[in-house]
Amino acid sequence: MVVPGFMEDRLTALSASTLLTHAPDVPSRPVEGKGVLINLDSGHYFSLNETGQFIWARLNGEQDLGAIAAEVAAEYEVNPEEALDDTLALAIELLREGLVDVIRAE
Amino acid sequence: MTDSGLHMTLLSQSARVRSDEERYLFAIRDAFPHLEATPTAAPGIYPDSRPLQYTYKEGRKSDLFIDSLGDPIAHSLDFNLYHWKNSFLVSAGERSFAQCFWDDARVEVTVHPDDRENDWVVAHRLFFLPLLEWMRRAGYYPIHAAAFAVAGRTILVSGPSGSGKSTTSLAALAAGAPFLTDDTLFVSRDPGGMLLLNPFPEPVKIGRESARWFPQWRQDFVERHGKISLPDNKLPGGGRMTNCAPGLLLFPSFSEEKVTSFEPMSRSEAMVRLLPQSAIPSTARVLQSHMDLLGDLVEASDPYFFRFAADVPDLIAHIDRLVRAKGRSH
Repeated sequence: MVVPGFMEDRLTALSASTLLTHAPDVPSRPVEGKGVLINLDSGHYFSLNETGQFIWARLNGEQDLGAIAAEVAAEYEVNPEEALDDTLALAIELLREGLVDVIRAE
Repeated sequence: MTDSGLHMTLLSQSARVRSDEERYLFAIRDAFPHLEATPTAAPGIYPDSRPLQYTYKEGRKSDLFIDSLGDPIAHSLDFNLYHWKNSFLVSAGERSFAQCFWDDARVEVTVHPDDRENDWVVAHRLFFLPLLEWMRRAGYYPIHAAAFAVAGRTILVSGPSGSGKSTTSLAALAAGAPFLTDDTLFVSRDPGGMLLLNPFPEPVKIGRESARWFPQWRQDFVERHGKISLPDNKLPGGGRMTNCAPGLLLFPSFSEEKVTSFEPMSRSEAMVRLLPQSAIPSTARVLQSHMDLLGDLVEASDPYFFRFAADVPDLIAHIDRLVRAKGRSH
């Protein structure tokens, strides 16, 4: 179930246990490891670099941000703390742009 | 590590480019001469697409059932698209709009009397956009691009208006290259899943800026003091190519250099550039299908930055050398 009323001031409350999924009206397409997304509500489109696409592909409502960050750390050979920081930073951007929904907030 | 790489662009900008005005007048003057015609989407080329029935009437917004859509009418001449159940509303300003009913392939166009003088509003927003949407629902996805063949490969040239599609198209015509389109094409799949490129069969338009490079059209242009329409039977080979496979994908820009040049581009960059030339907003399902086909097209193509210089009459020779060099490298 999508958590309703997830407010802007709670964006920074995202944590490793937060569970996100793609918003329903956001078509996307990977090309050569990178990605493009469209938010039909706002009429804006977005491009994701390789790391961003790696994370986006895993925002499926099954892995929390901590699990995704662990995969990022393994894939790109960076320390886990840095990987979690980057994953949270992208998650905040995606949430702010309405591209993902929160399934579990805590 | 890396930054998150999220970059934002306004999608609808490309659909607002005013300089394409002449092109969309085709919708009324050629295909719908009395605004009451019943055209097929593209006669003879798209046999499996159902005819789209247009009806036209003058009226005000109170004439149509739009209450359930809330207050969707924009207070400008920019167009807006709205979906409601299985209908689709295109508004152009607050008084003129088209309501599309896909179940029975019907479009009701309502134009306020004060807007009739503005052909652009009627032709582009209220006729062409429903036509493009209908084509998408029939499996043909539009791309704002010119296309022709050189050395056996299809060349797509995609970019916003004014980037050089028309000039490159004229260079192809002047060189006798098999020709698909100078502005819009549709990508589709055959029953076996192969990607196909299909033309939007409007006449090729030759404008002042492009014609100045080619003496064979320049004289004609001067005499007529306007754009020249080149009918299909004047195209090299006496008609258009159809059902072409993707080949090279070129993104043009004018260069200050003396010689035209090409630079390989990543396919992800090509996708980012192609998307705003193609993906007019629609439902998530239609747009996802459109993006998937564009992505497959990009992955099946060799993309290049295409910086053309003052050697415009030699453009096709440059492209020919690129195609042959590409062939040798494989």
